[in-house]
Amino acid sequence: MQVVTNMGTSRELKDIAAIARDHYDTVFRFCARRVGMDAAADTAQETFLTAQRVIANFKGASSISTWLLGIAHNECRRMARKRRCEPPVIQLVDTGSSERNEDTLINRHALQDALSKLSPEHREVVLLHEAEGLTYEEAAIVLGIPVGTVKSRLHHAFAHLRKSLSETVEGAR
Amino acid sequence: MTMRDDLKAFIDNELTDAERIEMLHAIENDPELQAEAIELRQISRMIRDDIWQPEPTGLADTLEALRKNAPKKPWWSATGLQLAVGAACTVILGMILFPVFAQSKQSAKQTSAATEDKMKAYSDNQRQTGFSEFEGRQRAGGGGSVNGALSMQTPASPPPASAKSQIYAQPRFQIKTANLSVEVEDVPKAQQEAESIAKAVGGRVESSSKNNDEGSLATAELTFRVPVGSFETAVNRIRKLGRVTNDQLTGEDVTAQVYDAEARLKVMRAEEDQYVELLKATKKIGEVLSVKERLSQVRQEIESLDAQRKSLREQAAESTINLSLAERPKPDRPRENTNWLEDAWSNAVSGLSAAGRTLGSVGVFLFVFSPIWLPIVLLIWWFSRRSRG
Repeated sequence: MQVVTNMGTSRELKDIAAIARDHYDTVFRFCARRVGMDAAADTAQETFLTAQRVIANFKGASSISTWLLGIAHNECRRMARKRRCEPPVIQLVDTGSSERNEDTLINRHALQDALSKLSPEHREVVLLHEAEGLTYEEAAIVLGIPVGTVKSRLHHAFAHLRKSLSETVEGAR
Repeated sequence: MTMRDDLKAFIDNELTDAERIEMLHAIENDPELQAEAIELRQISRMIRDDIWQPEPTGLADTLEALRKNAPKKPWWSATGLQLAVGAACTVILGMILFPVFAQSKQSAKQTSAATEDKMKAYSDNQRQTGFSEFEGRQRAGGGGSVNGALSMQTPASPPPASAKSQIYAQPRFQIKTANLSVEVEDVPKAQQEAESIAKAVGGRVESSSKNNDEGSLATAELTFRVPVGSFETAVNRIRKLGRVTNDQLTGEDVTAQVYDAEARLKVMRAEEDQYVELLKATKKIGEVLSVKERLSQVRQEIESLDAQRKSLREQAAESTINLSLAERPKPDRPRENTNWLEDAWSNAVSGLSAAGRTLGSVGVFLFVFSPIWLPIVLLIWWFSRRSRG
């Protein structure tokens, strides 16, 4: 269990405005990847308003950002139900470093296709671990599932990705 | 559960030390597993590099909403009232505890001597226990040297056939450090002796500093690096310089980190070879550039891993001894009572100041409790005036 090391004083911890300033970007990106840009700001705001209500319950068992992402996860699900959003899509963009040899190296478009074929559960763990940079334990806290389940879902998600990519390469040949 | 199922967790550094070492050996012996590891790393890296990073908006609105939604403070949380209550509590506590405090100073002096004796006994006991455990471990390891920054311990029993046991039959790496505080009669002399001990066992003085100000006890701080095999000898000889007041031996097992770095290096070098081959076969300029860029990233990672591995090995090759020398305080001579007038004057002044403090405390106490006693006094005064009238 990761213990909060830089929590600051309890007074700082209770200062939700300071917490919002420090963690808004992380929470916003988390929400945008799940409910889209249109609803991201509203969902992030709801996340911090909920955090303000329940901050007394935060015991420091996880880092404050993991705790906030746990709340954001629930808010995103609520928002997705309300707006009838599609399940999150892992969107890759051209950052200039993604041109690869078609035979051996991975092609970004092929990977995008492979990612879109993942189940929502697999997509969620891939997002949490690879995009948000959470450890298995933090991802487990956010999703409210055991660490072993995160590990197994990531293993299967990557197995599916490898399979889809190799099929693409075979098809191209 | 096969090794393959743990491969992703291995790449993400999410395995335990034992599992990681086991996986490293499996990767070394299985080229297919190695290729799979490279592929998983490439996929993972590409997702991380190319994931969409939305530009955050709406922080100001959120802060405004939080401000509006902030719960109102209850009336008792007003700062002035909190301060007044706090001051009153402090005064009352101070008045209650003042006599107790004066007594406890006396008893604390008596108990500190007893505690010091207990600490010494505990420290001696710790030293003996630590060493016997240390020696026991070393004998089991079959090695001649007992202590060392990196002790290469090999189990005495023959290695079993299973892969896991083979891993534990590998040399283990430990970074060991001794922290010693010694009280001596003559600090400069003890410092020289300590330095000559370090040199005699083939070590070196890494840093040293001394403080020899007049009016304060002389102290010196030294850090030695000694070879693995001479660690125990050096520590034992340093202990004999005087009275040991602090004695700590610590050891950090970095075996897993060393093997981890080595195996990752192997995987990265294989990946590097793959890119080099690819570069030879690539003809389009765009592709050449992107492969070169990736190759340079891989090479940077290789350099970093190699430096990490070397640093761990170097740290483990020598032990560190941190030594604090302090001059033993000389017992104070009883002071002759030559100036009785000065003594009487200082006693009188301190008595006056104590009386002033007590009166001040009573004044503050009366002021704080004035809401209770003042109305009663006023009522009595009013009744007495009325009855007289």
